[in-house]
Amino acid sequence: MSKHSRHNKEAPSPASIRPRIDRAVNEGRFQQALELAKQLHKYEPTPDHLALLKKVYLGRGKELHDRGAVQDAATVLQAALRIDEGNPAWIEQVAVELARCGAVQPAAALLARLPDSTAAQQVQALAADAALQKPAAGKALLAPAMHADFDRILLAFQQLERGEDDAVRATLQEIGLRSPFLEWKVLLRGLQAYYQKDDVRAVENWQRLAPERVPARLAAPFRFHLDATYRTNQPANTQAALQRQFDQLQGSLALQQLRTLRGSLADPEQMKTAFRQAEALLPALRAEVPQLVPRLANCFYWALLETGPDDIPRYRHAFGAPARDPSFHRLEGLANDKYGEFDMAHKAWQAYEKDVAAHPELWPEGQAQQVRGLIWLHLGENAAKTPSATKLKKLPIALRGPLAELKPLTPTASTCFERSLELLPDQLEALAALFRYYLNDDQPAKARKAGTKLLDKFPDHVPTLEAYGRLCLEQKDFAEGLRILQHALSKNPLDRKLREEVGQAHLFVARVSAEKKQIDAARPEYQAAMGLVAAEDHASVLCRWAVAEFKAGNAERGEELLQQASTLGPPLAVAYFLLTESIRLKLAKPLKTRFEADFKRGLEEVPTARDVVALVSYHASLSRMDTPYVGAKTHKTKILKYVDRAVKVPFTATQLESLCNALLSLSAWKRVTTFAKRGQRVFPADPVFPYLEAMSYGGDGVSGRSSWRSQGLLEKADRLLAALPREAQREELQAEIKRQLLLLTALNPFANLFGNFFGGPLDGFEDEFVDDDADGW
Amino acid sequence: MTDPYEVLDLPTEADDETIRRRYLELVRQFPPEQNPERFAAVRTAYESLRDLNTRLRHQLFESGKKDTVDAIVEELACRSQRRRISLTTLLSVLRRP
Repeated sequence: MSKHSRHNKEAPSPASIRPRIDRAVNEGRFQQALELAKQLHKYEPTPDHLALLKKVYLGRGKELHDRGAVQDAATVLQAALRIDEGNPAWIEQVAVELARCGAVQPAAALLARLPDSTAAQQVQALAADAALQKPAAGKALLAPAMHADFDRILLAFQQLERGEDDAVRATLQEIGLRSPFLEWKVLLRGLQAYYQKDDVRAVENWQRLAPERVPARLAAPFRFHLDATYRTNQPANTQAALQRQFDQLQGSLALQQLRTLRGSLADPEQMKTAFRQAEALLPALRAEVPQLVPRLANCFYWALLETGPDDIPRYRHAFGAPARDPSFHRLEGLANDKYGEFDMAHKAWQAYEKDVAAHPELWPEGQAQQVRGLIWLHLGENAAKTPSATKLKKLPIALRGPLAELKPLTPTASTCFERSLELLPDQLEALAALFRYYLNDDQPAKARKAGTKLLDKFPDHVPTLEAYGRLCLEQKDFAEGLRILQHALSKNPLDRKLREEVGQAHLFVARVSAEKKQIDAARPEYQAAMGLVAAEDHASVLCRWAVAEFKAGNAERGEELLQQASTLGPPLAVAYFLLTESIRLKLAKPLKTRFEADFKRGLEEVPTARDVVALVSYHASLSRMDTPYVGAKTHKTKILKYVDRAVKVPFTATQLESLCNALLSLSAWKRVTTFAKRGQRVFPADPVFPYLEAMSYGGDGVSGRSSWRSQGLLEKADRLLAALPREAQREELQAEIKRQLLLLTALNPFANLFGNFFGGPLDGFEDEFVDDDADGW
Repeated sequence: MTDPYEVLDLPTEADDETIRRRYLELVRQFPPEQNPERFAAVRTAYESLRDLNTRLRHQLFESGKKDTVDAIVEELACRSQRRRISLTTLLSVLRRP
């Protein structure tokens, strides 16, 4: 087969050429596309193929123009003209493109053939662009009528550069709205505003520029710098190019170096490079804006927290030692704080405190002592994060193991706080921290002493008044507790919880008087309690008061109060209030027998939600307040049996929540599980019930069992809580859920692993437990 | 801009009275109902500088923590002189690849 015949055989058909042209155009290969389009038009000179050939010619012209090969572009366009030379629309199009390439005279010659052409203005504007791109020789390209405005634009640029803003304004004034140089006038106005730091006006001007014109391209780097929307709308490579152009036009050397450094500092692996770049940058930065040097040093200082002490020599070399942390002990303390290495942090902060003590001159007068006090306070706060030996012994066994590895810090939290107070005797924070520490560490005597000291100096500090008052009540110093809580309430009279607490304190004081048969002293206390406790607790107060009256021998008044209580409270609960109080106040046997009979009769009745909740809550409150009485254990058994009979009783969400909470404090775990599950079935959107079920499996690590179940339930509660509307959010519950989740993670680092492995928390287990529950236990 | 002194536009040696005066001035300028974000930033900044104790705490445990190279770049760009350039320079940058 001859070479010629092989060529013929392989010649492409018109049908196969079209897709190749499209592909080449899409890929920006216009030269190849043009060859193929010419072939196609030669084989089949249809109007469609002519239109395609024109499109490809224009594309090739633009491609060459964009590359800067404007002469070649003009040659291509002149060749393009010949394919449809008799078509005025095509002549106009080619003329415009020629003008865009700077071939102003050929473009003008073409338009001269079409006296009515609407493209004349566009060609003139493009001619202006082409001429101004060659400021020295451009004028010759233009028609004489355009010369004056051309000169004005050049003059305005010179005036602008010299800072003669008024002259610029006057020069530009001469350029009319129909001038082909109007876009240049707008560019100059924008530049003038930019130099005057009127960024809004600069952007306003540049936004008006036609994007395909040269003035818009010249304004682009400046607009990129000022206009955030414009900046983000550009593709990444354009952004990079405009940034580079702006830096070349306006950016300082320091700015360019700082941008490079930013990338290195963001990557901890590149720290060495970042320091090297900083050292190169610092001379320029010191020269240009010296006040930014300490801020850059700060960025590196804090970055050292991530990268470790190996970079300290590099920091010292670049920036010198920080004035107030010459030995980097503060940095070491901050880093160890961050990573929870409290024993190391303890050493570092103590070393830093010594640095401050040795060089008080580094701080304004008198401040070094205050700084030292604050460091000791911080040391105390860190030390308080690990349980003391005393506290550790009191913790549940399940928690003791993991926490025992956290050795108590030396000096201890109390020593640190005391040290802080030696330096700053009137420091509220240190006083409060010491008081809080002793409270949390179950050292009531020391807590009282610290609390007294604080209240001597800050008698109206409400959080301390509240905590101190509660502490007094726990220690059975009821009169003092009441006095303190009343003072707290006087500072915060609308606090409902505090009102309840003051009411309870009145009841404690009343009982002390009642036990001594001092009914006259007890009565005002009962009366005050009635005014403070919630309405649903009025029956319980009246019952206690009634028993106190019986005890004092005022049977008639006792019966009256008992009658009032019966109208307010659920009958069984009233009987129980009377029975327990009569036992505690050691009433005569006939009255006790009478109340016991009422209680027994009540327990035999069909349970009601109101009775169940009131009964269990009251029993739980006695148990919480550590108020033992003869028969309490038997009563607990009876009450819990009564609760078991209430499994099918309809409860409101609030009643169920109260019941579960009361059962929790009685450690009636299985019953909590049952009622919490029921709460989840009946009130599926309420986050409190999964939380309560989780707690039934051992909150605070008390029972130490089924932490894998608790994990999923707590997460579910957290999700439900997050889905609640803002007004229904419960901050305390949320904080408690977070606390329990943290505790679980600390106790069982594998909890998440199991959850993930089984495809989500409690997948399938919940239903199984719900079914089991239906049979009771 | 997250450094409290930067937010309040105050020197680091400003005293209680100066800080409070500046805070009130900014709160009047940016009321919460019109500028909630700016107001929150001003409030947070004031909280960390309101008295010597909080200022020293800030210096000990927070100072410079929130500064970023981005913020420094921005500030440097603002402070840099705007150089007036000729048409030739402008065109030369456009022609460069």
